[in-house]
Amino acid sequence: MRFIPSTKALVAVITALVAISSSSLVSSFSMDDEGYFPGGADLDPLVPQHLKITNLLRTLDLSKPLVREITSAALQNVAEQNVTDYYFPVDQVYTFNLAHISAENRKTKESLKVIKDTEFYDSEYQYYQIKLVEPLAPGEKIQITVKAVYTGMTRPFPTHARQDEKQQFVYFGNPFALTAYPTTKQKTTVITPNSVLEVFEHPPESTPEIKNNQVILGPYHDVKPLEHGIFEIQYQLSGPIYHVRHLLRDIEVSQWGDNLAVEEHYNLVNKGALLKGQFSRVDYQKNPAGIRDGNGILGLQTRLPKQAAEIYYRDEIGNISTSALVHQPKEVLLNLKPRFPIFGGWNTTFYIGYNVPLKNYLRQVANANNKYVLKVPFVVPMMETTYEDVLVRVVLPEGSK
Amino acid sequence: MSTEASSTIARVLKPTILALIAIVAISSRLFSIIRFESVIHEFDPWFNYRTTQHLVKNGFYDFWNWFDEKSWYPLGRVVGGTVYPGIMVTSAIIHNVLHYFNFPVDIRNVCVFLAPMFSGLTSFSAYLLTKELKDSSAGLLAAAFLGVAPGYISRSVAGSYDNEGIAIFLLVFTFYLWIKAVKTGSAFFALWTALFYFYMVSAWGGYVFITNLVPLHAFALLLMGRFSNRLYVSYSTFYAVGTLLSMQIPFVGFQPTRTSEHMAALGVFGLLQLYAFAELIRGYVTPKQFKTLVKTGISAVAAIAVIGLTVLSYSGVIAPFTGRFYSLYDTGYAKIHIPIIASVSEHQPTAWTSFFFDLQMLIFLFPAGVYLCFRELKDEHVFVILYSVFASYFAGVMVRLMLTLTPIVCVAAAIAYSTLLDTYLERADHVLASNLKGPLTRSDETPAASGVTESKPKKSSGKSAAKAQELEAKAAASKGAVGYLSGERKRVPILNWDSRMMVIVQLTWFLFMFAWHCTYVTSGSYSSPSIVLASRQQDGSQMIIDDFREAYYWLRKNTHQDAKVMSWWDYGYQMAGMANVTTLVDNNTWNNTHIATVGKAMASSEEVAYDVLRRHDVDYVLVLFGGVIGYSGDDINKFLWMIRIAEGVYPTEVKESNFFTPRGEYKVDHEASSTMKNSIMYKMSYYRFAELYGGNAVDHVRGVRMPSEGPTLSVLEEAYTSEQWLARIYKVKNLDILGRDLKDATSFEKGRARKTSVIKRK
Repeated sequence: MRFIPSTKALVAVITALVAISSSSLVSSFSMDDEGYFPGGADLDPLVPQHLKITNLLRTLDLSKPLVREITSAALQNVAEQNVTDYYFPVDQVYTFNLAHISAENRKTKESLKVIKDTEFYDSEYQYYQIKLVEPLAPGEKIQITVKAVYTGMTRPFPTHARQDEKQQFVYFGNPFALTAYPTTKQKTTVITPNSVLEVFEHPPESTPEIKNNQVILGPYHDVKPLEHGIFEIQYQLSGPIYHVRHLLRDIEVSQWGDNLAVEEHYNLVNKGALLKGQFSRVDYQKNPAGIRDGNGILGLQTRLPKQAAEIYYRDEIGNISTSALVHQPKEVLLNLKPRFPIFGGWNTTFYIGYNVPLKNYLRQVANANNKYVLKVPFVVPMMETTYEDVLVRVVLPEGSK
Repeated sequence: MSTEASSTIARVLKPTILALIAIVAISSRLFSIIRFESVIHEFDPWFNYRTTQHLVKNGFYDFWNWFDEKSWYPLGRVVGGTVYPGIMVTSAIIHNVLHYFNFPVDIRNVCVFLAPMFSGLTSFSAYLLTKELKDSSAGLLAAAFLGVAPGYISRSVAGSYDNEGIAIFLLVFTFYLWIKAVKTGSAFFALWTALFYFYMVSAWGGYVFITNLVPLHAFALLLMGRFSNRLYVSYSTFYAVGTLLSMQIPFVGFQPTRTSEHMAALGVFGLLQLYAFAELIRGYVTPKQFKTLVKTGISAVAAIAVIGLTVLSYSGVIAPFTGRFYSLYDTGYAKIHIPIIASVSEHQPTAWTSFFFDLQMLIFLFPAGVYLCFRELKDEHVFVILYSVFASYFAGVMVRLMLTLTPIVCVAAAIAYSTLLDTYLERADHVLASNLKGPLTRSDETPAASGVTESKPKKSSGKSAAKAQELEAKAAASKGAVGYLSGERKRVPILNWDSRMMVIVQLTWFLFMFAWHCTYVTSGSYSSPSIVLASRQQDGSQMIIDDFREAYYWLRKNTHQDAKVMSWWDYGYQMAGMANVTTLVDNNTWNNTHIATVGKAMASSEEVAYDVLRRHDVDYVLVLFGGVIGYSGDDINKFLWMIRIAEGVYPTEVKESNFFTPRGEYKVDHEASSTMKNSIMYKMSYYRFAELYGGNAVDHVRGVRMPSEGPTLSVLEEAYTSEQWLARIYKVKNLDILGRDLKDATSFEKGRARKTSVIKRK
């Protein structure tokens, strides 16, 4: 299981039955440095070829550390019978990087159900089955948007950056939108946070169009299904890359005290370019703009429930005095500032904890005397943060089964 | 109010008052917790905390055999054999008991709250001790005084997890048991004295105070002709059991038989045996024979003892007094011979103001209390007098020993204060009634008074009849003088209420002032954890300066696992505890040469220092610099001590005089001597400091303008500097890969040509 911490990201909510005592999750997979070039074998798609894509627009958003891919496809039923499913392929190696996938009808904004397909298993591609709300009659058209978020798809290059240097990243991927169906016309827009530094692209016949912070690939005409090429882009991305190496989340249920105690232990790393040379406080302090736009993690923000009380922020050697609470109508924002700015390759550990009244999270199962259902967020994600290893422990009252 | 009713009330009131005193004692020590957090303070507590963690985690035997390779690199330290384990074992036991009963209390909190908890026990033992000396009302006063006296609070606030935290309780309680043993002559109490003495030995090096004071008391009683079977039983039991037990602590080992500090106890033990033997003989021979026997016997034994001791001392079987003890005789001794002891602020002679600061009105009442002890002068009062005299002397010599003085000051002051109250609060009809009924009717004084009458005849038993009579006459005379207690002399009560009011109101006012002063001092001076500093911002809001932990945590998280960090020894324990790195020297200061080597490195030029750093595998160097925020306890201010200590071992390489200006001043600005400017300590402190203020920097500690061109570094590079510049960490560069001199390599990288002087020489 994977979580996409983003502004709009869904809060992964699981319903942990009282019976669950602990569950361990290992997620995410870091890509090889050089990147595996997928699509080597020229395979035909396994999925039924009932559809044709008349027009496809893909936006690849690299302006944040997480890569967001929005693929809008206009589909047409070319088969004799009604079509109920649209298959969206992802390179098998990237399934580990896929943090989140959702689909919607582009016109009606209706969200569609996405299922990880098991029927058409392939060593190269993982298909995601998107259920259409209504079957598509022969000859009919529909527009579907698929949003996918990937982690760990970019890497800093050069690998080291000085404290006051802007770090640069490289994205390596497919210039074509990967489809399971033939495409009549497709175009990809790549958005980077700053001016594009360098683009290296295959097929060479088309020259990419560079507009400020955008690169437009294509349009390509009559693209085969599962077409691959090489596309590489280098761009500037200031700001730290938040990465939680370990997260241990302890949820302690006390029915006796009507209390839910939550404690989260973090090991936070900056996955940006490694700090070149050493840290200099003078340079850091002399340039306030450099502090803001620099590569160090200066602080992070986490959201706590409105009723959270007795909030603490500590590490192995005691209280960390630099934190602030912001009370908002629906929640409490906790601004955490690490003891020291975390530059590329540096790490720190800390833990936060709070208590909330249990009654908001526990309800009794109807018609059962001693059965309860506990409903708590699995993880409350932080902005633009990736999680490598998450362990959630639920401590139940003594004597519970 | 009838006496029966008052005693019933007293029975309820006393425990209540004692409980309240304990609560006050504990809560007045919690300032730092409320203001900051539950954190271990200062320097030594961090070591105790670290070892306690080790003990809790790995068990007792592992702790006992612990060889700590992370300190004193490359020598290491045998921790089990070089600590007083009392405090760690105490915390571990408390921790384990709590966990056995399913109270998941963190070991840190046990450590933080240990000293306040024990202060409650200390005030209770002060009550017991004073009760033996006067009565329970004086005891309650003593308990209250000791509970809040700043002299004791200074070492026992929450978080101050040091040996003294429990040792003062043990000291007072051992003395109480000793007095009880001497008074009753019971081997039971003497045994308990020995057991608590053992606990004390396991907890604090200050146990030597008991080791010498108890024999001194016995010796004084002997000289006063007050030898008794009670004394014989209690001292012999105490010495035999206590010494054997104390030798079970590895750190003490065979010291009780081999060092001069413990010889007095052995000598008095021998003397008591001889005296007892003589008393035994006396019963069987005629007085004339006895005289000759005693004369020859005593001179022979004395001669043998003196010769034996001298021979053993010179041959080295008995070690001479250690440097720390010499510095107690001669305050100038340490400065000349062992600068490392003199460099610690708590080993400095006490300023007279600190007596008032730490004890307030008690210091005025103290002599009065001692005087009243002289008037009474029973066996236990002799002890108080001896304790007062010696503790006063020691407290005058070393600031730190104020701690041992405080309990007796509280006891003596309580005696004086309660005597005043007795005199002025007594109702006129009570006094008149007691005068009418005779001396022994007042309920609360009965035990004490009857104690006097009973004990005197016992003492004179076995002596000649004439002597006994004489003694009895003396006792009667002294009783007459001791009117304040026994009330035998017909007293005229103080009848007029206004004179009584004046005294009582004034005394009460003193009490208020005392409580106010104690709270003020505790809150203002003794409750800072010293690893977290608080200051006010311009708008008046509190600002927490957490630079030490910032730097330590950076070291902990972002240096490789076995990084060796060199710093001055003051920060050794903190670095081991918080940064979890290997240190070269720490607060244990057992190896003066190693410390001097670090001092030499700090005081040398880069080339010389680099050699030392490489030889000791140093990866990082940490210095404290207060010039930005005006923190006066920084390394530049301690630098002279480093130089002195280094000079003691390397007199040819480090010279104190070179660090002064020609006019003999210690300067850091443009007038600083070249040796000073070339030392890596100076360079590390001021590296790029001027740049921070655009070349116009003022050192806020020394209050001087710094030259606009700061020092340059070539063998070290800045690795981390904390937010307020308090802690600066430098990385020791590796050897140049092209085999160049690091200085040349640095110049080359900066685009400068090689120095012309180098070329010219060739």
